[in-house]
Amino acid sequence: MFTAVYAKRHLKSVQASGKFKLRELYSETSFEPALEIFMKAFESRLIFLLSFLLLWCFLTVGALFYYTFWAREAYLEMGQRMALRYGDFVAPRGRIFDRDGVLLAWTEKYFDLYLSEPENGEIAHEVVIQAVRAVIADCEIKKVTEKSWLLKAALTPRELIALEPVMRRFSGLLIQNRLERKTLRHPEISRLVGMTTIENGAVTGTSGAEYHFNDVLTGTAGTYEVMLDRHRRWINGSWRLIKPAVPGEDVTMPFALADLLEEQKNEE
Amino acid sequence: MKNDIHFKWSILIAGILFVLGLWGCLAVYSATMIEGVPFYFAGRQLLWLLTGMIALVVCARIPFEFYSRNVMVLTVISLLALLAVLPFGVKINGMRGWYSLGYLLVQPSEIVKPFFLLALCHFALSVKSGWSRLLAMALIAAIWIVPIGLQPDFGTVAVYAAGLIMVYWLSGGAVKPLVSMAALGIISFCGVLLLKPYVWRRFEGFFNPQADPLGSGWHILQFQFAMARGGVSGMSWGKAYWANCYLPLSHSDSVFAAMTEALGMAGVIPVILLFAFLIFAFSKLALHADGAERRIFIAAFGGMTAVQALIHISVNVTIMPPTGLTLPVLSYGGSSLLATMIGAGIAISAATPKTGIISSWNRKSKTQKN
Repeated sequence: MFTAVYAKRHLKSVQASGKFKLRELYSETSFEPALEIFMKAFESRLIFLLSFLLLWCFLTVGALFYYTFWAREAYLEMGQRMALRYGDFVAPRGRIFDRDGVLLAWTEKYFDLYLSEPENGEIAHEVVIQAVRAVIADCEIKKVTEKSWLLKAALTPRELIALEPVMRRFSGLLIQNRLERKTLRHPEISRLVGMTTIENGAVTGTSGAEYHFNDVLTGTAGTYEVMLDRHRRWINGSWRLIKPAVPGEDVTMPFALADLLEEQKNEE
Repeated sequence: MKNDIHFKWSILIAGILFVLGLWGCLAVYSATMIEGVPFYFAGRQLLWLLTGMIALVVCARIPFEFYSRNVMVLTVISLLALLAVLPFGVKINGMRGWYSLGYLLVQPSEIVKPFFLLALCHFALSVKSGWSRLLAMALIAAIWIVPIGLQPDFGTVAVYAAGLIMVYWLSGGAVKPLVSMAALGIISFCGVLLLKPYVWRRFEGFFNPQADPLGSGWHILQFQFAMARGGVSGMSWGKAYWANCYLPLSHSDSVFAAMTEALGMAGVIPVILLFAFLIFAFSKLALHADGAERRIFIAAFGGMTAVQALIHISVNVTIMPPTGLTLPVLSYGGSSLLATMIGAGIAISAATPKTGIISSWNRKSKTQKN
């Protein structure tokens, strides 16, 4: 029906204008030849359109091939320079035992939550702290440096899990790990085992057995690779081990804790 | 015979759209899984896909005469929807182009796309070929294009302009006015480049992304790095870290690059092939449809979908500057998906064989040829 109307209208317009290129092909008595001409022209124009789209398609496939295969290495390297970070992780320091196998010194790892100064365009502190307080009720704000605040020291595993979505929302939040060397609370043990200090994140002995056996207790640091997002935060699941850490060896002291305690008792 | 052809190609079109839609759900899932709620976007997209399939079937069941008869009503509805979004719509990514209906965001410029083609096809055949036809069609197109340009959404304007050119071309329009109009379009575009600094900056970033890697070149570089990471075989689902953490709008405007990172070249070539086959199927339907208006609508709808897909892919493979266009059916967004399904439904309806003089004449002419 519409084609018939169209063809008749077309015939009239062709007759009126007398300019249409294909006018000689139109019949004045029937719309059928006009329709046939339209169909032929339509088919050829459709083929032209499809050819154009196909050519465009080939162009996109060519570009895709260039980036995924031909020049892949160069772009991969550029991207990795921007996003990949390599770092060392400290090997677990060896423990110190007495002659009877009683643990005298060991290392504990803690995770602390920090907030850094908001940069231009970042979300205000109050909003971030409110979001943190929603998951950690007892968070306290202690100024550490001019541009950073400690919100919570020694986070529990439950708090770490609860903080995950909050960390993803606010780039100013940072969780840092911290190592602490612990010894048995006994003055003589503390003297014999000795003191430690933390240098570049690693525990180093400064006196007593910790100093004497430092090389044995300290292991070899490992190396990792991690991808950072545009806010320079680690991307979940992108951490990859490059070189494993070799843990420090345990040391056994020649004395026994029980003997020391007995001596102390006798003296008293 | 004609019924068989129509049925076969219609089922094929619906099947391809469904497969592409499912592929899109996976792509959206992969591009957003590190966000913490991996099924939020993908789940919604799946719901939209199912709604879209229902819309396709419903639109295909409505006779094409209904659309053709009510083209004026559809045009007025489109105009009202596009004008009302300017004062009442919400602004997202610098564009005021969405209605906020509770949890839903509706983009009218996407939904009214099939009605734009319907109106153009309907009126194109009423005006004789040449300048008058092109000007009449441009005036009709302005009803859609001007409000969309005011949002401003130049990517969608480009797709509508492509639709206008395709309908004019397929309706047998003369070439000279088209070339003159294209020249005018290029001059206007240069004017936009000079008047709108952000458009100019996009071009600068496109030609030399390394000059401003953190600014105008950022988007282009992220596309390139994401594709390079994907390589030939991809990083696999769930390992598209670049798409999740660097690519802006990886589930909508950058979904092709996000898919390339996850599946590699081998995984996205089938998507391009499916699109190519979809356009071929629309062309086949168009060639077997009764009547000029129907033929033009089917072919132009297929062409417009192809142009939008190709612009999206071209932006993602960095042979075109960023435009902010989604990949039809695959990108996250209910309005775009629904519009494609409605359009495909109307195209299938247009291809439905009808009885009557034209149809019988078509059959007769074919028999004579054989």
